[in-house]
Amino acid sequence: MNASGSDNPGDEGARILALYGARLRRRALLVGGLGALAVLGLLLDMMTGPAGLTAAQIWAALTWGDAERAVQVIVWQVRLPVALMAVCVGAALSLAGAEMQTILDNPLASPFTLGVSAAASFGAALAIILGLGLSFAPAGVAVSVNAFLFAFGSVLLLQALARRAGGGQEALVLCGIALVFTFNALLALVQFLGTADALQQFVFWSMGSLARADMRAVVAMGAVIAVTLPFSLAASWRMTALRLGSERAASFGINVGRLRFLSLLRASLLASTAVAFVGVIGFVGLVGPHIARMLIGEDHRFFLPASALTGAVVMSFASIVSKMATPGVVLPVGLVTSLIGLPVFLALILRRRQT
Amino acid sequence: MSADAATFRITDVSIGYPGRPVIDRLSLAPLPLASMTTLVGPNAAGKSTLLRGVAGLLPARGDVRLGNLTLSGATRGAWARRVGFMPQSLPAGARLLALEAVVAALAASPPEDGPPLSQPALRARAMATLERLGVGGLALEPLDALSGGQRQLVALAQAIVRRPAALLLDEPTSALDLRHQEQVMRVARDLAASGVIVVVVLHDLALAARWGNHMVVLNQGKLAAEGPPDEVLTPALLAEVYGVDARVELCSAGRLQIMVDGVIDRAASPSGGMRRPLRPC
Repeated sequence: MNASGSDNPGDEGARILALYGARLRRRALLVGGLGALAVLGLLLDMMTGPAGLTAAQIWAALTWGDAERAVQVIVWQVRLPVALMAVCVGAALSLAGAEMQTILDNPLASPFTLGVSAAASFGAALAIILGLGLSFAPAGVAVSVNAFLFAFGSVLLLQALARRAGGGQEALVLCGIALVFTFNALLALVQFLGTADALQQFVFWSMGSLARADMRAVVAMGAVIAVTLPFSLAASWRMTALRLGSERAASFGINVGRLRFLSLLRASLLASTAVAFVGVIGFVGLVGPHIARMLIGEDHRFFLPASALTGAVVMSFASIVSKMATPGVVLPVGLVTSLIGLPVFLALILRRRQT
Repeated sequence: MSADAATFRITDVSIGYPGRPVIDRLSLAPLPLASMTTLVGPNAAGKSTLLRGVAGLLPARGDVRLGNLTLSGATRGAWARRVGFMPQSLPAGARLLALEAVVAALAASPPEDGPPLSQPALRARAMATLERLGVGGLALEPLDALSGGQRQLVALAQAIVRRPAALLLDEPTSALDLRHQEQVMRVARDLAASGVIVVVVLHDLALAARWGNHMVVLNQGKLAAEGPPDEVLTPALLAEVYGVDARVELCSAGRLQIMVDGVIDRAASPSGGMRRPLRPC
């Protein structure tokens, strides 16, 4: 050997490996099932709204078939962007939450634990309340641009601070908490200076809403997911090993600092983009990974895609509820995710304890 | 493997934490192929720090080399492929199966030469390693459902599944009952017999004397003694390093036993100490 021994397990080992293979196939099916559920949520979300549309009408509109002009306008300009944005934002926040929970070894971590949300809110408040922003940013997206820049900038600042504080997950969490308080204090200062009208606008933004989604935003959000997801999946074995502890992962040859940095970069890119387009939507980034973990475990080859799909499903159904809860009014989806999602989450945890 | 590649050398090595040096310019005799070295010493002697530094997990100055590969010149992945390390702490809280934990150790860094192993090959090697340690039947059990001893064996499987040339074990028996201690040490000795250079940190001197063919004693970050256990373990050394008045005797099975008769009050007598009897033997 080296520390060799045979590569071939005995008969009993081969039988166990066959069982494990069956378990992997079940997990793959589960991920596929979550994907199907996300598609169902997307369809139901598109069917839900003041003008009730059937699946056939939506299909006809999407395929440029025999659909009325009004139906085509509703589907393409209103329902489809909102429904797609729900799926994309849910997937982005939940994937970001899954990565952060792993790299921080903290089940309470979410994209907003480390100040991403607070920084985005501060950036948005500067644009909405004080009218401060990049001069070359188009008027319609100035708030989003500000929110993104501050959110992403806060993560870079966090990395620099944590590195000076010695690196490691404790330094990241402590510096993140410091940033949350700092940005919240700055936000309070801006709010103190604002007019009543501007404050009202900001409060609406901060509740998180899919109603401001358009196809450009959907494409941008989808592109960020498409770019980050392959890197997440490529790191899946290293992320799985990190769940066994930093020191152990390092002993396997993993550069843990680099793995954490790149993972945090992906998570912050996903969360910053989501917040920039739809405002603050809490809870999905926390609950999505938990549900995925309960369903599928922490083999990150399955856990990461399952987290993204779970987040997409949660957001889709939250979007549906936001339109159905109060007739004639679309509630901010951020409120719905918290009000509906929390009891569901608690029920899942209690059920798990009982079983 | 060439003769040079079969030797693990630690020369003039200093290891520590920012503002707190622990190991100070330590040099050890070369650790040869198929040897089992036990690393002992009192608390805070620097045993774990030395192991972590040599494993590449703490910054180390000086010359650490395994054959032609040096710690300072190797990438983290290359060093980890040759030098396996098992930390003292056990993994907890991960929702993974025992088999997955071992596969993750193997898949986290690609093999030294040749193409990466296929997924079935990774699983087969991980399974064979678990079977070798007698815990194959636990492969599909969640890590958190395993006892401390079983998790220790899974952790050992993680350290050896990549077939390192040198294996560093940090107090592998600390959480184990007598039966599991015996099992882990037997595996370590078998690995050494098969050609691996094994270094084990232990607190139990009798255990260290029984299983190791070479013993290194550290005290306050410096080398206190090294050599065959029956030459290293003397009452004088135990008094100097551990501050105890002790006898070293052979039991009926011919193994070294340490019997402590009292502690030495160094404050009362810096030169030789004053004995405080514990109890009659």
